[in-house]
Amino acid sequence: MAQPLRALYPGETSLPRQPALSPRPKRLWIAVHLPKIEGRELISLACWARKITPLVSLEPPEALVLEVGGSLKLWGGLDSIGKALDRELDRRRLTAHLCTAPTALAALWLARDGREDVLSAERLPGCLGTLPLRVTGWPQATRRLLKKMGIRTVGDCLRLPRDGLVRRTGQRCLDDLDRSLGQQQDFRAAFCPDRRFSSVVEFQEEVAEPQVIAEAGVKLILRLAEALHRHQAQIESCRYGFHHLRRPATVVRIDQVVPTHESRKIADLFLGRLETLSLPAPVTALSLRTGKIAPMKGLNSTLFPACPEIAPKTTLGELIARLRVRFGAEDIHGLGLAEDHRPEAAWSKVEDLRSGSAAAGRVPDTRGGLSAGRRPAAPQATAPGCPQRPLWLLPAPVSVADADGGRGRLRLESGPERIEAGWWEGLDTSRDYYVARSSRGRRLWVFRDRCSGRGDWYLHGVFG
Amino acid sequence: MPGGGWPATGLTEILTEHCGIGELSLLMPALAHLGQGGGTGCIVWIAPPYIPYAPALHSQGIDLDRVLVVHDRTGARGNRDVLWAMEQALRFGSCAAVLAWTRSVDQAPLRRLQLAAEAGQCWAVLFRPPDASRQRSPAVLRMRLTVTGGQTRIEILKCRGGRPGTVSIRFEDRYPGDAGRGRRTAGPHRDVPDL
Repeated sequence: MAQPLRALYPGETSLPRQPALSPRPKRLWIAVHLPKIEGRELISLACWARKITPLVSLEPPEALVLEVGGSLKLWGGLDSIGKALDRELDRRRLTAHLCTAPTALAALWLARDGREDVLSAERLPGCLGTLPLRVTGWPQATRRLLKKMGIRTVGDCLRLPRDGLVRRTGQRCLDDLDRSLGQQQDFRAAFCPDRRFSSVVEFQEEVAEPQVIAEAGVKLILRLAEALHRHQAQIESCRYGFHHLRRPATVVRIDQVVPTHESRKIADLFLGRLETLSLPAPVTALSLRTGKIAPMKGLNSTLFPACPEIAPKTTLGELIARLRVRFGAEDIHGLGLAEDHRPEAAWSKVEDLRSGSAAAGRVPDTRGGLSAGRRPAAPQATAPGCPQRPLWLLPAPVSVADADGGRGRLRLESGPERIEAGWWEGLDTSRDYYVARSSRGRRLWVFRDRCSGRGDWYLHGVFG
Repeated sequence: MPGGGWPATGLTEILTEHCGIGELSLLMPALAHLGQGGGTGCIVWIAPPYIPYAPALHSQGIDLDRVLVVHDRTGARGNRDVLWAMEQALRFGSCAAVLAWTRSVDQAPLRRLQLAAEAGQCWAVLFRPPDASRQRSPAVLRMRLTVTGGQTRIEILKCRGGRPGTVSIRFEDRYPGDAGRGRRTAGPHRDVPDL
């Protein structure tokens, strides 16, 4: 028989055995139905359940499904697995109903109704048939529709014509029924707990010198980088705790903006933050705790690393992260347009620089070509119908009397442009805008407020 | 000016008493050119005196996706944070232009900024008060803007590879179809002056 062509790696002497040929253990699922459980406790239980089987699947908000077919031999039978689960549930003081079945959905549905175990696939249709529809977890509207049709149990559903069921309730219900009976594969994502890293450096005595704290921080970061390297992972944020004697610790969170695994980049931000940080008391210990650890995403590097023109440059996200350790996160933003006639509402801050359009982490070159080609030509400032707008906008309109030597010294050069909007938000504005020139030659954007009876003049922008 | 326009890299100083006399309009065509076409980098505004108004920037042809604004709200550490941020942005290497507004600056930080701008291949524009003209500066280009009789006078104090000189420009912003109320200026005045 002709083998399919495949390259052998050095050191490999023969083709590996096809995994499909090895016998697969029969699947068996235990559903744990916990009527009164909180999300955090469910996750904690799921973490524990990974002791029993690698395939733990969450069914939020109240259930877990474990695949135990592969663990029977290790644990010495279903009974001992059941006992281990019971013991753990007792220890956590949780009330639960366990149910075993050959498919995950069947186990889950039986457990939700408090039924007995069903171990053979032949008995499944009969046992599932008597279950009420509420165990399925289908949307309320679907169940109400079926109820109106006189269908009260899963068995009633199974007796319906398949195409009719799909037409009335959608594909999901039919798929669920097929999966519960084992007529269709049920692909489930295995629960995977968040990984985090934490570490502490304790000092012999209270320390106030920034130099010593910085050294300890770098030590922690090197440990972190080593762990990240081992797991081929990267982090998005770090939380540093400066522990003091007899007072709560100072906690500083630093966002990396662009996920990284490099100690240099993490240390850069830490040292930058430390420079401006004022600690209320000497420090006894420094701790580091990361946010979520994600698998590392590699970057394509260039073929010619020595050539600075095409070598990958640091991304904008890194610059933003670096600036954020000195300035507040809200002080750094991009600009966006908004569809509104009111001048103060016609622009918006783009705060989320990571995913937003504002460039973070974007490879500059691709963007340059695309946007230049696709975007329609920017409207010209002098185009007819396009009203003049100043390059500077004041954060809030200022009374002209306070702003630039009073209204008497302003000379109106152009206008008015009437803007009436905002009544639908209860912020009724009605203003006449003019371009004015002050005695000192500044060109200003002023308006007369028509809402107030006196017709007060305000300064709203400056033509830079 | 040598090369017929603004210096693409290095430090440019613009000395003005107050904003609103056309100091930004001068830069706009160049910034729009940087943001579009072959340009790739972003434009960083550090400690601007007011809010850069997005619709106006957009109508001047600036790609807003490339604009990053950094406000120094506290101003607690004086100029230090502004200069630090400017240097970071300049050295960073993916910025096309960095605009910053400061008060008095010593000579040593200016030198650092000039070096950073050259290292990062970036156009640094520093807005300073006019009394800084007495100070020596390593900048590639220095100009002072003043207003006389409704016209903005641009005095080139220093220009590497060129000669100092003076130009007067009248900036006007009018509502469209509003020609009757005053003398209308010719179009070319809005572009970068050919000095």
